[in-house]
Amino acid sequence: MRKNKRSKKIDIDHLAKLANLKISPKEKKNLTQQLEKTVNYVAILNKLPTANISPTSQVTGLKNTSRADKIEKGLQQKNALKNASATANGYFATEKVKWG
Amino acid sequence: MKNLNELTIVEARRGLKNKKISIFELTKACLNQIKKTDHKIKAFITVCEKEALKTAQEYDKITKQQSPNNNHQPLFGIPIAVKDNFCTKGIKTTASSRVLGNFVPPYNATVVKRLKNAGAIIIGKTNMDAWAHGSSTETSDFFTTRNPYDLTRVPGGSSGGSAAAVANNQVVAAIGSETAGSIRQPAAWCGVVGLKPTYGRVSRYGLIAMASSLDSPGPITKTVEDAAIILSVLAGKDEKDATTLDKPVKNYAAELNKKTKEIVLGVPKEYFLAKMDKKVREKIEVAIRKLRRLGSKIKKVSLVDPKYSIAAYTILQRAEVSSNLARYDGIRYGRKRKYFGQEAKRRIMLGTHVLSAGYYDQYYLKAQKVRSLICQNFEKVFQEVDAIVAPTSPTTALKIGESAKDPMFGEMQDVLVEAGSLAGLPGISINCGFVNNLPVGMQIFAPQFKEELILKIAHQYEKS
Repeated sequence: MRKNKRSKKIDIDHLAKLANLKISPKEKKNLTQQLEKTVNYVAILNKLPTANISPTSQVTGLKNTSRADKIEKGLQQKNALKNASATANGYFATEKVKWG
Repeated sequence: MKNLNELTIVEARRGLKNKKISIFELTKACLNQIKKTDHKIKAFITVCEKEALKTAQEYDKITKQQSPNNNHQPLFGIPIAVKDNFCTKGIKTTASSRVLGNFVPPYNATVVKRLKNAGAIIIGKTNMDAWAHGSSTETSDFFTTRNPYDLTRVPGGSSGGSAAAVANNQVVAAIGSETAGSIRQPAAWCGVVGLKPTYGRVSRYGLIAMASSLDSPGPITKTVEDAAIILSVLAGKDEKDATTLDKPVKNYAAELNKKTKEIVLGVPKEYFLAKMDKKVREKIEVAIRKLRRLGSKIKKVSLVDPKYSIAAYTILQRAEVSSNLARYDGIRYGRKRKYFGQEAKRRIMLGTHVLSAGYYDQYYLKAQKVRSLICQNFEKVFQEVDAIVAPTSPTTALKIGESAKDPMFGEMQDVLVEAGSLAGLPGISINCGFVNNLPVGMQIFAPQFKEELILKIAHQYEKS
């Protein structure tokens, strides 16, 4: 586990990398302060005992919903590509992805 | 006599059926009001004047060819504004974000499809907090909407454009979306009716997602009856949203005046916050006394302190925001991630933090467990009472600029609706008076799928 005990210190550069956002030095200072303030506030939840409580992610009790197995018309290729920043031969075109 | 743009859905439908007015005249009256006032109010991002007038003319032709009484489309010819986070085929849909500043969806959201199938005329797309992140419209990447009651104040948010448009009679009715407060709070601050249905009652397909376990589309209207009419149009199972339920949809408007057994209303002491505006509190207390006179039994109840709901809601919502906004890569549609505004970045970053390795259990899982506690608390309280009444917001509309400094401004403003939203409950906000000429909203919420009950209570209050 990373720095679990020191949760007040937020590693903005690490988060920005995970979130694929570019953060300027000025933004970094503000964001650090604001995120720490929020994290400190939400710590009040620790006052509520939840040892034997299960988590809730869905409130109406639906499970394993599926639709009828029939083919429906989807978006046509030209409509799907209409908002693309760049296309090539009927596909979305992206910038080169580099690893490492 | 009222100007045409001031009519409610019920009044406009009556006028159209009796051939006292035409759909073109009604649509034109709304467009004229937008022209006259929207440079000050700034409720709209896009106004679809040409398309709306063309549809209006077509619909008038249909009306001439057949007896209007044969038309059973409940919104036939009614000009409606839609919040700009619902995809509208061929009409720019931005969610008030520069990332989607040039996005023209190739399909309609289910809400839009159902409105059109019911005969509504989409008159335009309304301003909001960008991505629905906020409670004032101030985080819109384009401009801030003004409160029609005082142009130096915000209309509330995030569905602020829709609420202001209805309050200023620019449209007959509007559609908003709520994650926690985004329909009810602007409705309260603009003195109109806002209905947040049960989670899963109205399809989210084509609604630009904020927090997917909470998002609920709903109507913002001039009267409770109008909200009931629109709910019947929007509600129901949608194959394209697996969280919608296959429960029967009632004719909610027809149910409004039916007699019920004595209703027991709960008043939660925790929702009358120590720091809330005293005059707002007084208005709510007067309104509750009126509900008692109308035949309801009032009972004091105790709910989980809203400060815990704020914390749990903040974590869950930020987590879902960071996940939902991860899809914006500028490749398939929209612009690159550098176009995100400050508020979106702030929320994505916190959401990423609470979901990241080493912090997930501490924040996200903990908040999900507190969500269970909140649901259990409501289940218990709803064994004693049928519905709960409380203020919608602790204050009236705030001045422009007051939200800027607080990184949790939205959550603090929505303190009195977050718990209900976390439990997926339906809620309605209606006007219950004015403080210094600014509207005060009262909310009524009930167990899941009890829209009929809250509409009925609100309707009785409104007409008395």
